[in-house]
Amino acid sequence: MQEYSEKELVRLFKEYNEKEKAFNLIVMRYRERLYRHIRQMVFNHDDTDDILQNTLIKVWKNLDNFREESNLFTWIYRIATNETLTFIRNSRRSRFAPWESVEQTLSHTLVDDEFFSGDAIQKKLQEAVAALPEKQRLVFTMRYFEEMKYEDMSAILSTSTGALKASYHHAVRKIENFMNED
Amino acid sequence: MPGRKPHKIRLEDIPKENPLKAPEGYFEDFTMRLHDRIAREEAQQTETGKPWWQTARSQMALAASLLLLAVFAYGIMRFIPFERFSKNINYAEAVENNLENYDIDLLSDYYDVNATPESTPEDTAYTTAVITYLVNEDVDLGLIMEDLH
Repeated sequence: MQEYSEKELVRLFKEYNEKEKAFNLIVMRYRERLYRHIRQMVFNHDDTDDILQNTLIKVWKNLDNFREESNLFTWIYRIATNETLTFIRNSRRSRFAPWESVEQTLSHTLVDDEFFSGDAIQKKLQEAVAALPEKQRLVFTMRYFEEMKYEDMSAILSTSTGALKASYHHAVRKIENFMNED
Repeated sequence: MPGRKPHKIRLEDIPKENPLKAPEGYFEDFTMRLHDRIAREEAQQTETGKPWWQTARSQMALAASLLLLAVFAYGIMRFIPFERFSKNINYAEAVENNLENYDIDLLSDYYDVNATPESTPEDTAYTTAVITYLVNEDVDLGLIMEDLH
């Protein structure tokens, strides 16, 4: 199969009346990375599936207007991140158990999730991640699990690399403290 | 060993793996499910996304008819001069009943006082002709003035 560059995919989508083909190639290229990115933030598979579909539907609807000021990957990641954060904030408002923090709810989600395949230490690590504040969790996830460069994270999150490094550093400290708690 | 500090867990000690796996076969039909959902949303949007003037056409026609009717009724009430009819009747009665009492000087003074600055010689000639007519016909001009005001 021909390997298109991002620019070629965007052009294909916009100009050559091959919208569906271009879109399918974009979906196939990014779906797994996007899935991991979203899942790491919301933990639950069904929620991840919803958010991932919403993200890609937005891509389908808006790619015609994409001005290519950033690269395609950054643009799609930004949509996914916004969709995820919106989901988390909405869940906070309409939570079934308002006496629990979102982090506690996420932690329970993780323990109950049938698609969690880690051992005890992995579970504890995920609980530590779940206990982080929203933005720190996002930064930690992108850096640690997705191994993203700070420059790319900066473009996606519209935050300076310095602030991202500081945020990551704090997140690591909190996680290690959590891991060492009895 | 007694006195030995417990090993502190550091992030780099934990094997980096992703335990949050997607269910088996999830991505195989993902694109198909996504297209199904897009098609559903677009169909729904076509249904609900018609311009508002198309979806509300019959309601708008009804509202327009009612509005037109209301305007028409208001026009009839406001502009058809029922009162003027009755005034004209009073005026006619007054003319008929008071033919003998008139005062040509009073009438002329009245018209001079009420002459507008834009009055032309033609206006004045017309007014004079009207006054003369009324005087000749023995009309009570005081009553006419009362009726007109």
